[in-house]
Amino acid sequence: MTRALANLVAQNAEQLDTGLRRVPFVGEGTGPGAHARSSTGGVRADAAPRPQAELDALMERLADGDRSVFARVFELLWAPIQRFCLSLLRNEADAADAAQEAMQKIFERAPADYDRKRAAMPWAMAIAGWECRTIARRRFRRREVDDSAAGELPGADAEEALVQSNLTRAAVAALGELSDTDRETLVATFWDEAASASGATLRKRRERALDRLRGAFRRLYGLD
Amino acid sequence: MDSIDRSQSMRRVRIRYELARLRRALLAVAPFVLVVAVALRLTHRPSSTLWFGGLTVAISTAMLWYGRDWQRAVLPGAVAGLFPLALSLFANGVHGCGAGSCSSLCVPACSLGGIVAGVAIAGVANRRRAGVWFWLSASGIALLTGSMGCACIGSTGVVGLAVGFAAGAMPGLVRWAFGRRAT
Repeated sequence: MTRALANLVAQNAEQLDTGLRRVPFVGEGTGPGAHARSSTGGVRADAAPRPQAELDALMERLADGDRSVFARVFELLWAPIQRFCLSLLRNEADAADAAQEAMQKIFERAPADYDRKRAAMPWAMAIAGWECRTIARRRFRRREVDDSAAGELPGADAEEALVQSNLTRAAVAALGELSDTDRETLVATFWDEAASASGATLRKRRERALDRLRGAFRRLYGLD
Repeated sequence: MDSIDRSQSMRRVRIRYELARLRRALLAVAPFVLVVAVALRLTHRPSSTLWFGGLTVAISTAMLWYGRDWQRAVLPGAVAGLFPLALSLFANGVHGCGAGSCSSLCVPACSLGGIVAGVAIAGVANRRRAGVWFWLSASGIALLTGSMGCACIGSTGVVGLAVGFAAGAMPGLVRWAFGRRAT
């Protein structure tokens, strides 16, 4: 079930990300790096780290043309983007290329494409994700990967399958961090199946489960 | 990556950022080039129109590239400047402006256009609670845009434009100044 759920999470990664951005961040104020088992057995999500709020404000100023914040924005993005690319591509050289290209595109697009109402880090990570995807496809075309990794999803295009398998692997790892209750809640969310709760309780559990999933991705893929 | 890679990377990123801003500025100023072309077609003194038009395009591009208040001032300034430009070109067309022959029409047209432009800039600046740089840059762009047409009779037209602009902007400027002092 976890594998199937991870496939579904990976296939809906973009929508899930959008959904996650809409969810208010539960557990703010608990301090960076703090997580503890809650009474439901889940892992309480980290508080929104202060660098994120700082990054949002600085990215807005950078998009406006304030060059004095350039170095600080670069510093706030550089390490997380590198870690993120390395975690997706699992190859230092490719991750370095992807991170470099992603940083260039982030700053190139900031004046025109950065939406000031949205958080900067997810926007930047989305660009980095696309660069990783491009490099993964390029790597596949060079036949540098084991073909057995490419055909995991039956009926899918081989390159797309490779990218999807990477996303699925990432989703499995993140889902492994969640409690059984959270996983059950996510199954109910994605499959519209009956859960042990309903109505407002289910909605609340869904928000917390998605929030903890987001927190798990952030911790695993170097966004903290 | 080591610190050398990081600094090289930062340099490359900075270049891409600046080039992206410049591309965006050039794209944004392209419609104004059409305005200059139309003004050149209608004016009886193309050399001064070309001079002021070229200057406006160059300065607008620089302001758009730089960003912040300067960037935000370009569009209001250009639009405000279209009033005196249009009126002076109309006067040009009606009267056939030449040295010494159209003070009765071209100068009033430029002054009236200047007043409208001044009122417009003051209104935008006050609504946005803009800073000094916005006032200066928007006013500059408006005057340069209007001068493309008002220079048809030489400096008299440009002075008439400037005087009209000052008269139109003054009440708004005073309100803005008192508002800043109060806060």
